[in-house]
Amino acid sequence: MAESIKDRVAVIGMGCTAFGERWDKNGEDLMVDAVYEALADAGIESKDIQAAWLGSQSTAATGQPLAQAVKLEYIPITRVENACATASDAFRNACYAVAAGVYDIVLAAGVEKLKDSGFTGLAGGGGGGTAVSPPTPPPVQFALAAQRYAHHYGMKPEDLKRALARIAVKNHHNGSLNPKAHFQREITIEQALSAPIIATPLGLFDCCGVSDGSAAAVITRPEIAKQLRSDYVLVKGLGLTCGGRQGTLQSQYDFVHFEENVTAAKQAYQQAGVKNPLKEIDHAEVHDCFSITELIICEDMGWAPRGKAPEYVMNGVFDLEGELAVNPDGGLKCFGHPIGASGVRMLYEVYKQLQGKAGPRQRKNPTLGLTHNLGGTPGSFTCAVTIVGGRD
Amino acid sequence: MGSIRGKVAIVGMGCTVAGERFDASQEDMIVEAGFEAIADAGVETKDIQAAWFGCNSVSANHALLNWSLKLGYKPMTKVNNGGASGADVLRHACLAVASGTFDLVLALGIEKATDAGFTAPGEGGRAFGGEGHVGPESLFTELRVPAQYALYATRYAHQYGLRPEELKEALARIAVKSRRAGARNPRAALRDEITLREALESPPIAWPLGLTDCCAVADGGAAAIVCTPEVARQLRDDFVLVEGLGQASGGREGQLAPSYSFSGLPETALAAERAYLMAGVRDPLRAVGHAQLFDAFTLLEFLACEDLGLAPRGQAAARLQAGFFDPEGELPTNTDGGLLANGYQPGGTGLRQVYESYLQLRGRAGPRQLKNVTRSLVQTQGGAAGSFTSLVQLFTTRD
Repeated sequence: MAESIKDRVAVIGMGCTAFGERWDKNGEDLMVDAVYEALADAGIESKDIQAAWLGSQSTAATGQPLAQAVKLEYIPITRVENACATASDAFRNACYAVAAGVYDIVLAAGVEKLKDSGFTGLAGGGGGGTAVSPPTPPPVQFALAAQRYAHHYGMKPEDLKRALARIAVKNHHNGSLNPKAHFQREITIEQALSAPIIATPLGLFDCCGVSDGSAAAVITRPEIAKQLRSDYVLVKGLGLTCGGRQGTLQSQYDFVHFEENVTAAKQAYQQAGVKNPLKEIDHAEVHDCFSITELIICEDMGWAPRGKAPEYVMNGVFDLEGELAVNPDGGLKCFGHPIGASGVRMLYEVYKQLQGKAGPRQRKNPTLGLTHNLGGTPGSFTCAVTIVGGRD
Repeated sequence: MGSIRGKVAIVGMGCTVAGERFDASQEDMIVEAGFEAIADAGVETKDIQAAWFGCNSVSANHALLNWSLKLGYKPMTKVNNGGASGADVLRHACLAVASGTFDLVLALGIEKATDAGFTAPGEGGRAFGGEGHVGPESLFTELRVPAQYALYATRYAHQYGLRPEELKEALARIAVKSRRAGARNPRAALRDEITLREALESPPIAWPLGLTDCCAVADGGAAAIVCTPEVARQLRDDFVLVEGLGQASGGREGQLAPSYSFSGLPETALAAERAYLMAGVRDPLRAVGHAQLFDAFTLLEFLACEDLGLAPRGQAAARLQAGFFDPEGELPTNTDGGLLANGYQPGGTGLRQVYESYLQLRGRAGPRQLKNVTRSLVQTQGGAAGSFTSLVQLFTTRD
């Protein structure tokens, strides 16, 4: 029978570029910066890499651009694509290849160069000629979820709006402590509340930015990791779920939870042996493409009871100093969302936290960290949940 | 590094009819190939624990696969690697099963090219299905794909002292062979035989390559159910074992090296080396009984035979003329008609090639069936001159 991935794969080096409007760098430059940081961190050379995975939505069409940029000579390289979970899935496939015993040391990199590609935001619609849902851009889709959330739990619109603003303020605070973030300024709750409306109730600060960036991870087996460094990080669980339009086709779809989140978390918790996630997970990088998404994710992940996430947010449970820090690096809110890079960028923060190298954002004695990506549209998402922990 | 050998089996496969499938959408073809594989394996969709999907012409993710097959809330991944996408999809399904994390998974690749406005890969030098913002201009980006391979053909003839008419005839022989095989394959896109004279006189596309030297663009795809050998034993007696998975991606070394030979693909040679090592194959010519080669252009079958060690350098043409690669020969190649008769479907080609190996190894290839095949090789590639991604996969009958 199938066995868990827990403790069979280790991360021994990571790199991450500064995210933002990187007019100074092309896609290859970004990959070089991220990969070389990861190689140096792992204390290895590019010739030690036996296989590689590249996550990219639109910047690269195959795995070859990674080979061309970094000059990984004639090793197997594959491009993985999975909507907003692209980078996490590139990492996941790299983990399986190592766990299969076929490769010893591999690389998972993600890159996206959006700012000079004419990209203004993710396209709307359910995709394909047979989509049931109307072609609405993402802010509208998630605004629907926000509206429904308030209605479903009998919240006053202004109370929900304030909780969402509190999420934006928290993420901007965390981002202000991170030199690699795109946005590094704090905002006030009043600023968030009075920001121009994008799609009611979501205002400007409820929406993440668009940016360029790249991140990379070097992955190996724990036996090899031990020889290279003492503070390597172990993979504890890899969850991935894809919806098949079940939501879009169901009249009872509730819009206040996303089943893909719940099932992916369940897979990852089971593999990692996590029973009480709020207590056991120290910090999490989640897919806050919109503030409402973060709110719903906190409930779907089991960190707050249904309908209680706004209360938890207002009480600071998910603050940097809270019980479970959510988006300690500033999240998509402050990093933007270069699609093919985001998942590995999230892992970069968790990796640094577990090693005690997160600087002013450092949590005390973290044991388990989690990353979460959500791609697609309500009714048919892809969700990736990755749990990593420090070595025993 | 370790091997995949003994860790993974194929218990079911499905394959669409290739061709101008104006009768079927992408979803229809996924259903066609997917449910044939599921039925062939004797499993149900609920038994599939994870899936990998190849399709270069739709962006974003796995979603099309799940929308079509309704596999539920399971892990699904889209893999893109140019012309090698379908082959790499299967490789990932195999790696995941070998990791012990899943018992039974699906690998499926399709492409719907004919009504997508797609006429040939590499138009304007941009990779099919991707924006390709990365990268300085390649040295060959302005050359259409047939022109790129025409360069290899003329160089090959020069390198080994073949006269132009000798080269032309050898290439024509490949076209005749593949189309004859295609005529015996009810799922092929082109099912009419051609004569040597027709091949020799076909209109030039990029000299020395004529129309019959170039594969067609066609819709189609294939699917495989991949599992552990333990699970396979419970499902059927005649499953197929995966023995070797070699892959190599070029980083433009070829385009940058003045010494690049243009008469072989280093990526294919390296991928073969890796696959043979995994399978414990020392003498490929003796060990391999059947080969499916990426003959998007006739010349590529020569290059592949030599890169794979199935013919000495410069000898592939002579071996072909002697009938070595015919169905009755020592090492039959492209018994399903290859790309020349089945067309090019980047997301599906690699899996479609494996489908024929799967049939041959199980004695189910009908009028095309070879005698006593125990090991089959599949070679697939994508990319452009001087920078390819190549995969070599080895399959055997169960022990």
